[in-house]
Amino acid sequence: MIQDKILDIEQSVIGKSSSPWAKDHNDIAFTYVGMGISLIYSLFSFINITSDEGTSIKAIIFAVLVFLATFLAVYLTVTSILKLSFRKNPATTLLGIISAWIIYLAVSGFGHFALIDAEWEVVWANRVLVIVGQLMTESLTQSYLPNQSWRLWSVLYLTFAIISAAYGTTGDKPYKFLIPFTIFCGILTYIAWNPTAINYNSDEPVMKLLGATILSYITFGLSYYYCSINEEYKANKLRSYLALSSVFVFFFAVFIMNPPEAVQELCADIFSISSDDNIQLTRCGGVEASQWGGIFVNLIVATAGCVLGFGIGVVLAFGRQSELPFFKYPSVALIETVRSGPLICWLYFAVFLLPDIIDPFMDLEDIMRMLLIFGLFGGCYIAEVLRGGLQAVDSGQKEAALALGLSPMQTKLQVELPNAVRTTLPSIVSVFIGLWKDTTLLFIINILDFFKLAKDLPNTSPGYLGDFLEPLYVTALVFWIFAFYLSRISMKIEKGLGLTNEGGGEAA
Amino acid sequence: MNYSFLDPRRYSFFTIIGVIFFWIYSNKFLTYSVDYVTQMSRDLSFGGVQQNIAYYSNESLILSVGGFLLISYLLIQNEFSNLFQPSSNPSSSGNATDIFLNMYLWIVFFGLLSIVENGSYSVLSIFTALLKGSSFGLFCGLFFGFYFRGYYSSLFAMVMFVLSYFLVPTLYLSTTGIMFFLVGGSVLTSFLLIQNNIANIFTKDFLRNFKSVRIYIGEYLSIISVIFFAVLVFNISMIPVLSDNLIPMLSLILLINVTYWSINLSQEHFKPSVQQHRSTAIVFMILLPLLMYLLLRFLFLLNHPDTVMRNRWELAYEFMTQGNTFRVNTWPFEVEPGADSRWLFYKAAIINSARVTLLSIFLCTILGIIVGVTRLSSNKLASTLATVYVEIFRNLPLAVLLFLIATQMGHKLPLFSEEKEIMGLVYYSNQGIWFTTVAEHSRIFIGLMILGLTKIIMRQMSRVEPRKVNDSKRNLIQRPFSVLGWKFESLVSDLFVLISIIVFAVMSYPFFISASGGLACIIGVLILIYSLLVYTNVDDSGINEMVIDDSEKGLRRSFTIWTLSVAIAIGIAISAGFSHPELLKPSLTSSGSWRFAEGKGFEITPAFTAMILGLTLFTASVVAEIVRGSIQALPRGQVEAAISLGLSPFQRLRLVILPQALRSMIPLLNNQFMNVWKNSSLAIIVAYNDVFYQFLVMANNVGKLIPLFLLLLVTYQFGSLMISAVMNWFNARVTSVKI
Repeated sequence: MIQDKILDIEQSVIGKSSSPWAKDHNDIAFTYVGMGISLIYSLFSFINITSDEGTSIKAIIFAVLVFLATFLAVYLTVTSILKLSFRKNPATTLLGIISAWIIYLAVSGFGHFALIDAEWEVVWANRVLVIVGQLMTESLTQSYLPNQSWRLWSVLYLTFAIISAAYGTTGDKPYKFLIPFTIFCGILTYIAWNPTAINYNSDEPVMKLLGATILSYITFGLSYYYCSINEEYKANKLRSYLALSSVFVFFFAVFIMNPPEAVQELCADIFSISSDDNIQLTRCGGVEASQWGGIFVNLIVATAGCVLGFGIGVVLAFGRQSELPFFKYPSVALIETVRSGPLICWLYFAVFLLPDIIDPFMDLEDIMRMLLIFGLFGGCYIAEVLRGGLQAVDSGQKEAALALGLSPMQTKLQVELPNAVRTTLPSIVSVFIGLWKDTTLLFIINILDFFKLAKDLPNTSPGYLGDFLEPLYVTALVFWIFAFYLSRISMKIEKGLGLTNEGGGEAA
Repeated sequence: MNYSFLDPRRYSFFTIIGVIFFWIYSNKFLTYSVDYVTQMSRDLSFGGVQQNIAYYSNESLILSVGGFLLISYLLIQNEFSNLFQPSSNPSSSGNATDIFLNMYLWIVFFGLLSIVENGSYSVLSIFTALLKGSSFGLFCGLFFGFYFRGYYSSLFAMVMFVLSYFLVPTLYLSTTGIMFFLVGGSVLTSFLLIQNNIANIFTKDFLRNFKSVRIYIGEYLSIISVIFFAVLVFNISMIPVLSDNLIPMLSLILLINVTYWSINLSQEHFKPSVQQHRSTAIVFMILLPLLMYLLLRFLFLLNHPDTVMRNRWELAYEFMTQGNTFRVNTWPFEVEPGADSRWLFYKAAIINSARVTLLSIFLCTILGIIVGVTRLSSNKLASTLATVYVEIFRNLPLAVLLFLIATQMGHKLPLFSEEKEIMGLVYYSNQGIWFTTVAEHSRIFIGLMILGLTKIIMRQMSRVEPRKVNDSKRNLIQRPFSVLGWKFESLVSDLFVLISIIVFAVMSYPFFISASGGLACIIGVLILIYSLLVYTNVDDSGINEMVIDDSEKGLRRSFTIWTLSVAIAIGIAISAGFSHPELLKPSLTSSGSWRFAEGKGFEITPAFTAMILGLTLFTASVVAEIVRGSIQALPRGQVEAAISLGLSPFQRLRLVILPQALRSMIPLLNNQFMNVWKNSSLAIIVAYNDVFYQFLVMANNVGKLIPLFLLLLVTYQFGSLMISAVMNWFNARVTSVKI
């Protein structure tokens, strides 16, 4: 019965009625009274808003949201007073009412900002800038620079292909990947296509995004088919190849964005570009690391933290586990030193002091040094996580390896490490999430990452001068989405490994 | 072909690439090393004045490079670790040589000796002296230990080091000679390490059968190389092929050794211990050019010819005693720009950081527990809301969150000139919040102490004779009041804690508001720690056993006492009246001149508010997850038992669930609290004057990056250690009761 359902929900939120007048038989009547009062009240607020803010679509949406939130809050408050439900279980009632009012405040406050106050044009107008940075934007929108966007597209194609192939190996139902992925690609395409304040030709990126989507579908289908017809060990092999190729993509991205000079010259020879031209201004010249910007920088730095960090972390973890003092003490010293300081200490170290040390043999740009320092920083944290995993490896595993005649190196790499990684993977992913969030700190040392650019967007044009909150919220949203996605992956791994805690107590 | 795993010949393509890579790498880094040694050892003194800024005396160069090589040698040889264990031979106990074999005795003795000998008593010089003394003690201890225990391989290295330290500077070698001595010596060290036969040379077997070259080819190789090296040091230009192509020659030696031994080692036909030792040695050999480069580069940077560079790297802290000219906003210890030294500025900044960290830790624990428990509540609306909160804040970057909060606060809060107030009690604007407080803050403290006294009295009233007393810890230091019997010992130790809190507050107060008072503060802290240890010991002995009187009469009595004491405490706290914020308006029209009167009311700056908000909201989401996980990990039966006992939901939470969940929470919370401390460095985003901000300002002003950076790392490490010490103590308290 619908009445029972309503009562059930209501009782789970504000507790059972405990008044002398609201008994089982007329309980629902009081609910209806509360609903009625609340409906009238929230209708008034709906009319208020529409008369204040006009009847544009955004205003109507806002009004509806506020209407719903007001309805919920007032309904719960009024009903709990009518039924005196706080007499029996004050904590539950209080929690319910407070939550409802918090929701009301959040919806009305944030909704008003997002739907009425905010001028989102500042973000739309600079969407390319915050994604790829200044120079790439110019090369996209101006004609005096060669269009270098193919470098990024190639990385994007590879990434999409690998990620969807990886999803194909999980053995889930295809729709679990295809539907969210299609929505994601749709959103990306919408962002590329949206004509608000557009300053580039949207046909090209839209077509390329569609191409990337189709490529992803194909790789997903192939790997899904491959895994479904083959044994498990072959799927495992495919997974490890995919993991290796994602490492490859990282190095490929660094390479293709800014190839070594020898490669640039070779390319110039092949395309017979005369040597008189400045090679940086031709198709063959790469994009210097100092010119990278936007979310690409965050992604590549975070990936460096993962890829380099994992390598460094494995070495340091084994070093710390080792009985040989030559490996043990330096590893301990390095891990503890790096972990003792906050990340921005090390960023400053990388900017000001690292050049003194490595300058004579290597002239690295700021971003490259960031890649190194994020690798080191992530490595030390991953080493600590892995150490826990290594300690937890069953000694029987090592003994079995010894009995099979494996060398110490083989035992470490082929027996202990896979075991340790398997149990610590969720923690490693949460280190990666931390690294991803920490890439926002790059703005402190004036690297033009997403956050830094977004922060400065209002200065790009006099028309946007006051709109400093909108880019910040967009930044928060973008970083949040990535981190949230990674945390879901972590949970999924945890579930797959059977590491979650089942059961447990109910607190209140 | 059936090569073993990791055999270089199995991957011939990669091996060739590796050989080429190693050749280039070794040549490159050895070139730099040779270059730096040459620059640093060139003596250009005219009339007693050294013209070469980068000059190091031969002794100090040999001490640094030789010391590094010696440490590596000992670490790889791995014989020293046996010295730190007591002698396994039972018959030798009580032997006179045993005292020479106790490493710790050596270290402590020479460490203390150096402190006594050291004239100055500043922290920095004591620390340096201690370091020097204890390393000297370690050296002597190792020397005798190796000698008496018969570890001739390590002993050989130490003798060589001593010899070269004392002999070589007296030889007046040329610059090339010193260069060859250091760089060639490092290659020789790695060669001897991988040969692993120094100890064999000193055995009787070898001396008896030394003619059988075929058996002892390795030993002969080592001896010949050492002699060859010693001869070359005197006159390297004797062999022009070598002196002209020194770097390629050394690289070639390294390359041949690395290739030969990596193939040999991959066969795995040595004993496991030898295999292990040689694998370590080969890693050292591969890393040697890089390590030498890093060491020599570091030495070179400390004495760099370029003034800016030298200023940046020189390890000296004199500049910290000079005045700082930058205005910072600190509380409660306010520093005067220009007058106060940088050390004081640093202290004020540390207090600022600690203040924000401690308050955030306190708030985020409360909020985290509330949210974490709400997430598990049966109230679907509330638990969904809590989940949303956790998911939102856990996945937001803290930097963005702080910036957003600061911006949003500046945007939403009223302007200062609007004079927004609540009944004259609180003024708020985007410049800060000013609110009314009691006139004398010390009276709040007295009030709190009265509440503490009430708590002690209540405990005493409900205390009963313990059933089981564990008297193993009954000595004068751990339980000084044990003669008083169960009833008064626990009362006195409770009182002792309270008194030492008061003593601590009184003694440390000057430290937090003025430039001096460090010693008194340390003494106060020590007293507090001691009182807590006494309390802990009394508690662990089972003496604090209580029976709560929960009859109606008892409840009424305790309620009356508590109400009375709270009333008294509040009365004392407000007895000196209130201090209201007072807005001064020198000119009514220009709001720029308006300000609040000094010393009236209480001000919270927007930077502080933003820091607290950001850190608390962010960390609370993580704490909530920890709380939830710990509660979920509890056995279901606990809750069911609590329900069947008829406990109310709140009692269930407070008496059954949280105390048990606390056991698994504390280690994780410890981590998060250390993160709060480290994350407080993000204060730079909201322009709050914390340690990191102070570091930046000073680094900009004086450019002494390395000393400041080390100071910063030490500060953060020290804070983390403090937090984890407190949390470990707490953890030990919580887990001392076994369930």
